[in-house]
Amino acid sequence: MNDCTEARAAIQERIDGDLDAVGSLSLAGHLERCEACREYEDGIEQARRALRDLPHVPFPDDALAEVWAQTSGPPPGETATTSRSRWRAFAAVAASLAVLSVAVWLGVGNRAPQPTQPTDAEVAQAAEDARMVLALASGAIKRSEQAVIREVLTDRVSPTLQKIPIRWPGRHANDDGSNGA
Amino acid sequence: MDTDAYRDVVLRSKDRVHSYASWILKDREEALDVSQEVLVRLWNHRDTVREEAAMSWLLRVTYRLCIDRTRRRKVRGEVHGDNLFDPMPSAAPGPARLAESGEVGDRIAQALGELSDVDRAAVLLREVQGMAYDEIAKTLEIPIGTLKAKLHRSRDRLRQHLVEAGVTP
Repeated sequence: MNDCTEARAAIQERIDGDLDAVGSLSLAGHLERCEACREYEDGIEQARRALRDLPHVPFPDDALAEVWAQTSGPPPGETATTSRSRWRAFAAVAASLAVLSVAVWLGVGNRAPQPTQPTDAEVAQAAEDARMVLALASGAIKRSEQAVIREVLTDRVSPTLQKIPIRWPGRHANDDGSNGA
Repeated sequence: MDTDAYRDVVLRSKDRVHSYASWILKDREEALDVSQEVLVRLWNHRDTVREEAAMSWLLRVTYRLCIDRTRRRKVRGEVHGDNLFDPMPSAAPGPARLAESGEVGDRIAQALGELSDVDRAAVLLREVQGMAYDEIAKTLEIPIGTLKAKLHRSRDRLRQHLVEAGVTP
C-alpha cells in the first residue's frame, strides 16, 4: 500500500471492522513509512475518544416525574409531587389567574354582600389552593416563554387545564375527575 | 415489558436519550420535549418492545422525532439550534460546560454542530451510543455502505477541526 488516500480509507475500514488480514498488514507497512498517515490515524482516534468522552446531558428530575405521571407512576420510594412539566406549568399560570378571580369573587375588596358567605373552612381551603397554584406558577415563570408559546400554538396544553386540582366556583372537590397528582 | 422493566429501562436510558436528542436538535427545550415524548411512547408500546431491544427502539424513535422537528423548523423558517452551545447558568451542562474534557471536547462539540443532521446522528449513534452498524442503517433508513461513507467523512471532518484548532497534529 503506497498511496496515502488508500491507506486513510483502510484506517477507516479498520475502525469499522472491514479490513481483512492482508489489508491490515499492508496498512501496517504503510504506517511504518508514512508519518503523515500516522498523524491522520492519531487524529481520527483522538476525535473518536473526544466523542466518547462527551458527558451526558442529564434528563431533569422534574421531567422524569412527568414521565412517571403519564405512564407507570413513580417507582417505589419516589413521589410524583415534584412533577412540573412545562405544559403543566403553563396550565398553572392560567390557573393562578383563575384563582385570583375566585379570590375576588369570594370577597376580597369592596363588593356588595353575597347571599351566602364562605365558611372559614372554605376560605382556608381556597387559601391552600391559592398557595399551591402560586407555587406551580412560580415554577412556570422560570420556564422558557418560547417553549410555552410553541406548546400553546400547537394546541398541546388545553386538555390539562381541566386537571388542575383546585376548587372551581360551583364545583365540589374532586368532581372534576382530578386526583390531584 | 412489565411495569418494573419499563421503569428500569427509563432509569437506565433517560440520560442517553436526552443527550442524543440534545446533540441532534441543538436545542435544550426541544430536546427535553422529545425525550419525554419518547419515554412515554415506550410505555404505550411496552407490549411490543422487548426489554433488551428497548434502547435501540428509543434511539430510533428519538431520531425520527428529532428529524420531524427539524423539518418543521425548516418549513416554518425558524432558526433554532446552537443554544446548546451557549454557556448555561444551571447545573444542566451545555457544551461550553459539556466540554469538561477540555479544549478537545469543546472543539468536538462545535464540530458536531456543524455536521448535517444525518451525519451527526450517524456519528453519535456509532461513536457515542455504540449502536451496531445495521441498527444505525435501519434507524437512519440508509444502506450500510452509505452509512459507512458518512461515518468516514464525518470522522475526517471532526479530525480536521481538531487539527485546525491545533489540538492534534
